[in-house]
Amino acid sequence: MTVQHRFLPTTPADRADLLKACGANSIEDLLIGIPANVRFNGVLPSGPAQSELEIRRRIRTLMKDGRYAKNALSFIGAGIYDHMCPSAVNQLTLRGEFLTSYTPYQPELSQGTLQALFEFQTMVAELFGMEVSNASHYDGSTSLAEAALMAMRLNKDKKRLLVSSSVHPEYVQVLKTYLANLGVEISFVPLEEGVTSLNSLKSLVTDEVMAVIIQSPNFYGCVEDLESLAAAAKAKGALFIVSTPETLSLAVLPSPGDCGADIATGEGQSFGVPQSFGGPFVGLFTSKMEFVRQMPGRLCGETVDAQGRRSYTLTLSTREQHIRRDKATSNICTNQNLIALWATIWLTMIGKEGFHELAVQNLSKTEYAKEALVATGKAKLRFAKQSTFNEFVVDLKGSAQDFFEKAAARGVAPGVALSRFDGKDTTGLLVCVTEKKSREDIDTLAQLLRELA
Amino acid sequence: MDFLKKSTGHAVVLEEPPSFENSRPGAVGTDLPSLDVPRIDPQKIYKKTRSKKARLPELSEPEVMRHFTRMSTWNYAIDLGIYPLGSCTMKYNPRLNEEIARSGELSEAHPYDPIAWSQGHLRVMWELTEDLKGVTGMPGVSLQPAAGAHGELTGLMLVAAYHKAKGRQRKTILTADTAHGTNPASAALAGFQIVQIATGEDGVIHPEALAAVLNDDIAALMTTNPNTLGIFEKNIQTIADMLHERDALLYIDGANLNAVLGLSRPGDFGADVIQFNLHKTFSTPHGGGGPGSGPIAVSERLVPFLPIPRLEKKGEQIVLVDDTPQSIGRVKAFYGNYGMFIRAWCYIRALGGEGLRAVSENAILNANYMRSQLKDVLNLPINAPTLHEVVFNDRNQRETNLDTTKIAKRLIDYGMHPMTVHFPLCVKSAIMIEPTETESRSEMDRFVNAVKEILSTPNVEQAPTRVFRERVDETKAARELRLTYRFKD
Repeated sequence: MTVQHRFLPTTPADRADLLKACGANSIEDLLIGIPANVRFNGVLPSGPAQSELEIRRRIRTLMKDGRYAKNALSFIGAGIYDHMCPSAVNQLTLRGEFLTSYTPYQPELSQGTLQALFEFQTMVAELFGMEVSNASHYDGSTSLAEAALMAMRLNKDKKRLLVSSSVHPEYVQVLKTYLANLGVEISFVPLEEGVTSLNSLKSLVTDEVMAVIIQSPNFYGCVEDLESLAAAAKAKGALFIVSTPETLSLAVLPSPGDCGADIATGEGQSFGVPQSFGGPFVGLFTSKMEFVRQMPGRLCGETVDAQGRRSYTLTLSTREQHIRRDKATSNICTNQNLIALWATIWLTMIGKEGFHELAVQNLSKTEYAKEALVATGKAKLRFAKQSTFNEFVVDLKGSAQDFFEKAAARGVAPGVALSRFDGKDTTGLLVCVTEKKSREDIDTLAQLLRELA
Repeated sequence: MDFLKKSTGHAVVLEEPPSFENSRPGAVGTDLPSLDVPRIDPQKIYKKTRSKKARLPELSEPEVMRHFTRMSTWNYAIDLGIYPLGSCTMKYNPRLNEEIARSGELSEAHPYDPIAWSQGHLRVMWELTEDLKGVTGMPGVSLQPAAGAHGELTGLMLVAAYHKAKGRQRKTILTADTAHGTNPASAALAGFQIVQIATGEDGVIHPEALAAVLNDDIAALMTTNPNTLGIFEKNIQTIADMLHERDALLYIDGANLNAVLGLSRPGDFGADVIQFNLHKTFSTPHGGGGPGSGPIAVSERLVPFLPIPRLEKKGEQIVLVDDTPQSIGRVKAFYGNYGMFIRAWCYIRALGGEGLRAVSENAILNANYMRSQLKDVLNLPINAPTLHEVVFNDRNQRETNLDTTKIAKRLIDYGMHPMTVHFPLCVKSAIMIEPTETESRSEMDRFVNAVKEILSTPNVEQAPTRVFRERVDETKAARELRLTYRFKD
């Protein structure tokens, strides 16, 4: 007996009519295609159906110790950045026409999604100073991995990849996983004072290197000298790939394109996308126009309709899996459209001046925080010589993890203890300060250092 | 043309240029918090700063609201009507799931938060993992992959790791001619070559066809079940046994899992890996093309190779561990598309075990109803039992000037989204219809009547004409690439 449910419009009377039209007496008659030896006759173990009220109640109970319920204060960044988001962004992305539509394969029914993607591509390319952006990728880490795959296609005869040791450790793990079966040799460029060592890069880069990957601002928050690193990479014919997890920094730092990037990727979470315990976010992927045919993912292009009116459609799909199958530039199909829309609306609302001002606020608060933390006498800047954007490393006298746990018990996440990524790094704390932290919040963190570190 | 007269055709749909054209210096779309610390000039900090401010638009809040609202009215959506895209599974997206996933309690958490703060989120992930094990009858699950194709890639990396651990390199993945394009593309990306098996006249893979290509270089067979013809692979048990005899693996593409919830479990016939498309089976919104979420379930054979990090119970606490030496590694930063897990978790709770089965039963009933109503006017190339979707083609229309594409584009003028066309590739000019379980009889009849009217009035001008934009010139788009707005300055 099929149960009735609020998601299922078919009533028992409808069901009888539909079955009759199908020439069947029962649902069972329609299941004859499933051989008896592979039929499942039990009940799935997901429990009884629950009402909205019950589900809401359960969620509230489950989340009672979460950061929201605690009204906690956090200085955690490390690839996910807590930025302000105007209310209208959430409201607009709830519109069913955006939320419940499919990939715009039928352009005549998808012009809203398509124009938004065109605006997204325009803004992303503009921010990175690159000629072309795709219509989004899964996230910053997979964008970077696909950039390496693209470099393999562009530099077919080369087998080595150089990666800076300042790239986010989880991005590096993803890169390694993607390349594991493809015969690529990855080497790491060491750091000097928290940034990629230019001299080491110069000695490591050879004609065999397909690409050099640099992150800026890097995992430790330090701004890399992209221009010099690019020149060193290009001197040996390597492609220069930049990864930018904190894309708000592009408001004030020279764009990857201006510094000579061939491919520039990043994470669009910074554009007001909720942290959501790590996803969904939106991968950004840009390159020079000459490489567009090797780009992974969807591209939206401007064209006209039968009446000559400005219109948009997905284009260059001969690169993609549904046409080229095993010869495609990537296997990517569904990606992150709604989050790309979120980022587009956010960038539109924040606007040209607001985007710059927001970055200045991050920079100002971060500089204030550096001084406030150092003034406690309990913390030292690890890379005092380097410039940063909204994140920096301090060394504590004792264990950073101990301090993290003690502060957490007081409702404050003071940053990320770097021992999480490198067991030998016991004293490092990576602190992130965005516009959402008030002066008082920063002073609270300093006070905790005084008391607990 | 009675049908067309009944639809209004004149909704208030307004033109709206790209935001850059409405931009005016001085317009402000949002207020920033006041700066309560000394202002720092970037030029004092950096050796070099950005040369020119990014040309983002300048618009007020009401203008932004109208800009995107106007654009939204140019889209078709499941909220508006039937969206019978075969294999894409466009079903209703319950709104409670949006409310919960977007609430501060869930959306503000950071994956590096103290473990005690994260227990609720990890519990949601744990329970979803158990749900997925239950649905598949398979012992291992990873929620990491970001979308179905990403799940495929991850699954195939596990296959590669399995053979590597046995000290051999197997280079070939078998796929069926009913496969989605992502299957061969994912296999290539995982370093494999592809050999395609033709399905029989009854639309399924036959053991003889498999025997003809099965050798010790075959790493796995990858097939969708039910396949993209909406047909259950009736020989699947034999196929699984044949593969396992050679120590080759069975990959089930779970794109159509929505057809068999509570009716058949891949683990019971020996599947080694399956990816879920949470946005299909478990109704997380498609969002105009993502975000998806593509968890995988695996057999005992593949458990040691699952991606890191993994969920584990340590006493009362749930923790994430990455100390599994045989793991393929990490496939995505952080823990997967968590926001999608919540939505799927809510969906599964709202339905319960029996409700999930009712989902598949109603999906099958609706697809069979579509078949019964259209089989006299459209050609049904393969006459096998239909599950959640039915595939026709345009053979009956060859004498007229109609074809699959024209029927699809004409449907747009009738106020509904067309079905999937020209897929699967094994059926020439395929017309693939998947109504899903959330369509009512009257909505299905609206579609059926429109198709019938189109087929009986073949002499029509180029469709669509009753839309915001008529037929879009895709050739021009590819030839004269314009991928970004051309600023005047």
